[in-house]
Amino acid sequence: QEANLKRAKRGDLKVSVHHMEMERIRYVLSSYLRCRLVKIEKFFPHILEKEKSRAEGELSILSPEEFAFAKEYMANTEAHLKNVALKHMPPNLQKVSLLKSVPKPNLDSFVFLRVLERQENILVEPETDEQREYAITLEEGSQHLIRYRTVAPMVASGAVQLI
Amino acid sequence: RQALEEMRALYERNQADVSEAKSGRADLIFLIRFRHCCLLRNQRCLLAYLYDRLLRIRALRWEYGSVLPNTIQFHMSAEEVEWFNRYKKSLATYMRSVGGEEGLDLTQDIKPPKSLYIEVRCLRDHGEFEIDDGTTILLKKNSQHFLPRWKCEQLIRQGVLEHVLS
Repeated sequence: QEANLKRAKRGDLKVSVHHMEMERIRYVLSSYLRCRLVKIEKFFPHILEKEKSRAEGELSILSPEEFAFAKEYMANTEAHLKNVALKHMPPNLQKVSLLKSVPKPNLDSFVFLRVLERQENILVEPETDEQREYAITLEEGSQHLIRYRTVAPMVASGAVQLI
Repeated sequence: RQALEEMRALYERNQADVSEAKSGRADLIFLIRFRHCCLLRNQRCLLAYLYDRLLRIRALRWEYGSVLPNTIQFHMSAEEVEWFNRYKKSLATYMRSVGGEEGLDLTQDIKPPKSLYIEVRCLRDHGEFEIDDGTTILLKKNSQHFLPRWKCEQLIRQGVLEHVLS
């Protein structure tokens, strides 16, 4: 009978652990998707503009559902501002460019990264007037703190990984 | 609304001066430009205020869920309620499209899970509450229960249950 009890408890524990793992995965997934949505809502005019000017073969940074969500968010917000305020304003002020009014993402902010593929001769912009631009080599496995703009194409290609 | 009135008044005066200026009185241009700046500033302030309200309403969806308490709805304009409804619908469509047939409710699991079951205390009478294995629990004020975490999350956010940290 004790053996039976032990077997039952072990099974139960496995179920609990499995359950726990599922919850953890669900959390990580949820958190990641939530973060994406927050970014979409924060920068919506710029994201939609970038999507509009995307070249033929280039991959989109948004999933089709995210794109639909972004468009709906834009339409909803624009219509609201128009109906509540803009249409009551003098004729020459009834249009407003959301692209200009909503803050842009700061591509010059510094980011931490880890190098996955060795990169040679990366041009770094001068920080002060006395410096001139110089070239650095990013060794595989090294970590750096650098402006996002300098490494943006490498993030897209997967050569570096943001931490 | 007052700001709109002011803008209208300013604009009308500006209009009169514009037609005057066109007919050759160059000295009025500075006044016109000044009023235009005031108008632009008013427009910017108004839009900033309205947009900020929208951002707060959006936060409400994530905090309170799909149904807003009446006390809050009272302070929202009809257009804002409509914006909220459209936002909530857009969000629901997106959540449904994620992962599998049912979708993933992104408004759950805000914090990393520490354990499967949690100890909760009931803050007010909420009536009966059914958990997965079929049993119902009566949620009476001040009663304490040991329940699965995910079932409680929404009730905790609504203020019905309180997580007891021993």
